[in-house]
Amino acid sequence: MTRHIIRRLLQAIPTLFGVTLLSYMIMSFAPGGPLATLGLSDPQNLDQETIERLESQYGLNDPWYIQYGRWLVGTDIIFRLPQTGNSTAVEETIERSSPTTSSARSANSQQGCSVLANERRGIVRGDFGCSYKWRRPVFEVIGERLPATIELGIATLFVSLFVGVPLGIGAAITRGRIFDNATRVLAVVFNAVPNFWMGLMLLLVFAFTLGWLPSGGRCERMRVRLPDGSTGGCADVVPIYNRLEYMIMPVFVLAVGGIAGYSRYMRTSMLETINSDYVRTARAKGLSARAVWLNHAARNALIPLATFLGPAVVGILGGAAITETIFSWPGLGRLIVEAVGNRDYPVIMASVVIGATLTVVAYIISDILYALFDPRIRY
Amino acid sequence: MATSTNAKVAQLQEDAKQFTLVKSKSHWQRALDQLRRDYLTLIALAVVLTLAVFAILAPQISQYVTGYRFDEENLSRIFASPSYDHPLGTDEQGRDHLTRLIWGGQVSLGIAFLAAILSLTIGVIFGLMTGYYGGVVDDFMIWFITTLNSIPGLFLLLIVSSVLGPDPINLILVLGLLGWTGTMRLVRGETLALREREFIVAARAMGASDARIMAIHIFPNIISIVIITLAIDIGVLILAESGLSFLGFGIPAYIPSWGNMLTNAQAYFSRAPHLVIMPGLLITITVLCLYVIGDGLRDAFDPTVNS
Amino acid sequence: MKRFTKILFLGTVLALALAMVVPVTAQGPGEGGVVITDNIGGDPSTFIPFIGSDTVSSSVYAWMYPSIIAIDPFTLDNAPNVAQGMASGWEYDETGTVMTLYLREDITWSDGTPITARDYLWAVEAVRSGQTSSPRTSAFTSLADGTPESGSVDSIELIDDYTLRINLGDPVRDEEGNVTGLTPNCIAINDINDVTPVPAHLYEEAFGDDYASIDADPFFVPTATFGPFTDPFFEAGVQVSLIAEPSYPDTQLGYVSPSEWVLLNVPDTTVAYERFLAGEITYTGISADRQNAFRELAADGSYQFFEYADNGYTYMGYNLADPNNPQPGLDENGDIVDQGLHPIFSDILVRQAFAYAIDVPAMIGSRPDGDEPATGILEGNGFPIYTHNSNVSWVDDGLEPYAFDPERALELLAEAGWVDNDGDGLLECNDCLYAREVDPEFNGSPLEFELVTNAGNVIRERTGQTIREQLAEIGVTVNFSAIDFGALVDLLLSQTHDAIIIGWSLGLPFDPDGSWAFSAESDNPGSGFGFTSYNNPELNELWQTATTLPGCDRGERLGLYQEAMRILYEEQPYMWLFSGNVMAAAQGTVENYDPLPLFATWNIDAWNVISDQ
Repeated sequence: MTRHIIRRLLQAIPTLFGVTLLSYMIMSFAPGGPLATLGLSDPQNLDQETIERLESQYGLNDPWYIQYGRWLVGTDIIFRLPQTGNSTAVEETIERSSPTTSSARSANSQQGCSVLANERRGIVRGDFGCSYKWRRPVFEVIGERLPATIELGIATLFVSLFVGVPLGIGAAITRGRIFDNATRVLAVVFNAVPNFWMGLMLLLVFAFTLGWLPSGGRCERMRVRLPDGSTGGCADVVPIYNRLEYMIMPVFVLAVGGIAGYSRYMRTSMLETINSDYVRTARAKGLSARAVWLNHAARNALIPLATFLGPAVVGILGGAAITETIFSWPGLGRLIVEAVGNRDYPVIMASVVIGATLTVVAYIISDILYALFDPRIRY
Repeated sequence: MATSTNAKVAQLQEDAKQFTLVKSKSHWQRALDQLRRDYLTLIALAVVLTLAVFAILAPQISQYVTGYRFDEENLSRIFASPSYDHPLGTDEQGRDHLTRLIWGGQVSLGIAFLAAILSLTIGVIFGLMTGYYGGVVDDFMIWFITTLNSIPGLFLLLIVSSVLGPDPINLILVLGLLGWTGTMRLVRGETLALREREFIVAARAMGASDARIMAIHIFPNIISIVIITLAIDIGVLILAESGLSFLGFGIPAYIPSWGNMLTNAQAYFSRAPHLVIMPGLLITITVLCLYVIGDGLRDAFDPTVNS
Repeated sequence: MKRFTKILFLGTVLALALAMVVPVTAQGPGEGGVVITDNIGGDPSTFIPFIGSDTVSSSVYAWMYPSIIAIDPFTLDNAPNVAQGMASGWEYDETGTVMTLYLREDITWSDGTPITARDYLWAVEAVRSGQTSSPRTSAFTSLADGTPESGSVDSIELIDDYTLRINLGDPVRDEEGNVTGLTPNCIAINDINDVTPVPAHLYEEAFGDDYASIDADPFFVPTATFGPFTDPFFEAGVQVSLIAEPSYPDTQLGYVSPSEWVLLNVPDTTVAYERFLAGEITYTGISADRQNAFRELAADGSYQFFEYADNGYTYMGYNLADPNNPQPGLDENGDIVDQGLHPIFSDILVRQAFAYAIDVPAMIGSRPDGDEPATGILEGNGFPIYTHNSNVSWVDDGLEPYAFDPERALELLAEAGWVDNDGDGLLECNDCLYAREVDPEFNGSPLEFELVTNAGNVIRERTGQTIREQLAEIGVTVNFSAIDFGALVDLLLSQTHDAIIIGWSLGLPFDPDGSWAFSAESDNPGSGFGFTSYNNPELNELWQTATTLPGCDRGERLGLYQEAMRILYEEQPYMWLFSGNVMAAAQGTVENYDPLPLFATWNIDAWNVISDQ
């Protein structure tokens, strides 16, 4: 078992490597050329000499795989940057030509973040660079938003599972009758509605007209003094079980696809197993219908559910962008939409890598669960 | 004596007809029969085809039936309610809503269809190749699509469409180039299964080229998968296009598409609900029907489903 | 005695009765409730005032720092002794280039340290060093190391804690670019206010003279500030919250009434509007397309609102120079550079033709009136504007709109050499300006160009669609698209565009001088705002005279500015479209809500948000 887990983890490495490569390649097509990745708002304004100095100082003339390597593992061990001497003249020129960049700082400066700092530690050590818009380490920016999305994601997974599976079982048991048909129709209908429209309609009805549910945010807006003296918002003090009403609508919108998928799958799978030999044997042995359905058919049909975890996470991360925008949920999906709008490349690249890492982890977990549940698989 | 034997034979033949063995139908014949009895799928098919016809004929309808261009504005008649001149009213710039809905159908359905064809083509070609050749090519492709699948689709769509720009052609390319992995997996699976079958082995032994084998022997067996995937993909792509429009990365606004019409109108919901309801309803109904068709086709082609 | 007792008794009863009937309103500091406003623009990027360059950030740090010379919300002009302003008066010497600025002596930072001239000087030195990312270096004539800049502040001398001597004006330079003298300039005073004073004792402690390290700590907030609110709490993606500063003296009531000011991050405009209607947001601005509906809603008093014309305008800006080869307007020697011609917009006749072909009044439209429904894009919530001017201007340009006359437009275009030769309904070049002067092969090319605006701005997107359609009526093909704002600004500053729809928000006090947008000096691809590449020596002369007129008497300068505006109106480097109607709105339950034009929150320290029990 452990060996299997280790093998899966090792298999994940080439995937993650591929993700970072893909992410880097897409960004290299961004308009503005490699100089744009430095955060200059208008590289055309610089004279040729400055451009050449910049290119050599930041290693922009090196082949793309070297630059990719720098981004990946940093500049202090391998992929060193050419050591140029006094670079203040270059820094001044950059800053004057495009007032929105932060100026380069001396290599000694420890705190904070400068976009043009050419010493990096690479994304494998968590240094995703600096956000152009906020001039803060990207890791910090994403770290602030990630927990909110993870909250939504886990809640969605739970809801999809605990609503979808029973619905599917029920549909299989009552096959052909009203419950079955109604479930199937509703599931497909909800899936066919554009999710932002559904979100807005839900908001309009339940929040603004009826007033039953809150109109957005993760919890009630507040400002509180935390025990350690700093200031915090409601997410720091209100435990999740006290702010469930804020999650109801966003989770519903995100879980619709999952509920439909799971219920359909359970229904089909149960209907298949109900005709299989071992179930017929159980019936022949005299077990009641209910015992047969639940103990045998259902349990065996649960096995492949584990495989849905991976795609479910991908779907949630994708759907989160729209859902978080409508419900003012401060998460990663909204961050990436804003970052794309701001052309904040470090944040975009980091979000893609982190999103993919989460997905890969989900796939690994689902593999492990699959191995756990299926008695036929033994390692 | 002869007549009674003849009569007996005739009688036997007559009787035998009652027990005529069910002629073993071809795969396709069976599917068609199954479909013919599936009223839900037939209705859905009719709906989609009707919408498609309207979409294709949009220029003609616009010119001869409604008499408006899709960008013809009339700023003194904005948000008009349905009337004789404008059967579905006008939108925020005074453009005829009905005309725009029909054009929007052409844009949305067209983009979704073309992108689906693109992704299917790529998926089938790659699936056939990797399933057939296996080996290193297979390993590489599996790695590549695992990578592609790990990145949430919308993220990639957002990034690529912001890099490329808001053009319908770019949108088709983006949606098509990012959606082929599912098809590829399915096709690859089928190809792997078929590869070792006797008729393929025989063909190879006879010296048929790889391309010929893939095109003539394997491909016909996966057409059913392709058609099912096409139906569902088009539905998914219509929704994807509307999602991108909502986030601001879809089609430029004066070109109507159901997605961007829905997005633009939701701010005016209380004022002119018909502007919101119609595009939303059309999207929902179209996608619904496509899912039903996909399901119906899957049932039709699946020999284990008894009618 | 008996009567007195009776009166006393009645009076007490009356007082008690009134106390029960009249809603209990907050009486003291910090009891005025939480004031919440919405923000569609995303998170702030800094709290340090001289670094900030976006409006979200400035809306936060404006509460914490004073201005050296503040604008009076009633007169919309620089004034002494204004709330949150340091200046108590100023005077010029006889040359007009030396100003003595006197500061208020009674104000202190919230920790008690007096606010002095040194606080302003610390910020000046930080900006002038050029080591920060501050865009405000343009307020000075040159930076600390002598590099020339475009501003008017040459040097500042500390006379004492509350007096500064400032040398300002238009710099006269020698060959090396060093400033050898100054000529007086009527609007130079505005450059002084570009830099915000900061508590020098705290900034010195935090940064010393390592100005470059300021950028590394963009959310630095000193422990003492000066303003009604302080101590920002920034919750990414959710809110920025400031609490009331009890020691702030420049208040209406003698104290700061609201307890907290919140900038709530709401990403979707529809949701934000609905949340305001639901009472979750205290005050906001209503966009033009919602104003009519809101006016009706608010008629019953459940909301308060105040309308005024915007200080700024929306326009379609053309590129008069060759878009494939953007050049600065002046070379190093100060001579005019030949920037080439734009195939379409270099011809004044074409620009004037478009002014006749585009129906701006239809775009502005009209408000609903009885049975008549609203019309237009702005639905009557906008004002026409014909030249570079503002609704708060002291200059009346006295101009009339270009009539909507497509026939006249076609005549002008024909005169310019654009006709429909082949009967396809589209205009082609037939001995047009570009073919005559640059490339005879251009004959036969269609009249087609790219029009861009920023995605997300509903009014601009709709305006672009209308312009496209109206020009199509006369045979002009417009390829219109809405791109993201950053990309738009890049396109614009790089001067590779054809035409764009964008807006200017003009500053206060309003300055009718337009040389920052319409002269060769401001034409710098990459940074300058003169991206039309339009230059008119007569115009520059008028502005130069008006800005340097001794005495700066507005009456004398009026005629010059009017002439300048008339020239711009005729030459149409922009197609001026309209100026918006701004509607500031608040919940009906906000007491003392009393907005002034452009200063809706001038008395926010007196607001009292009544909450129902």
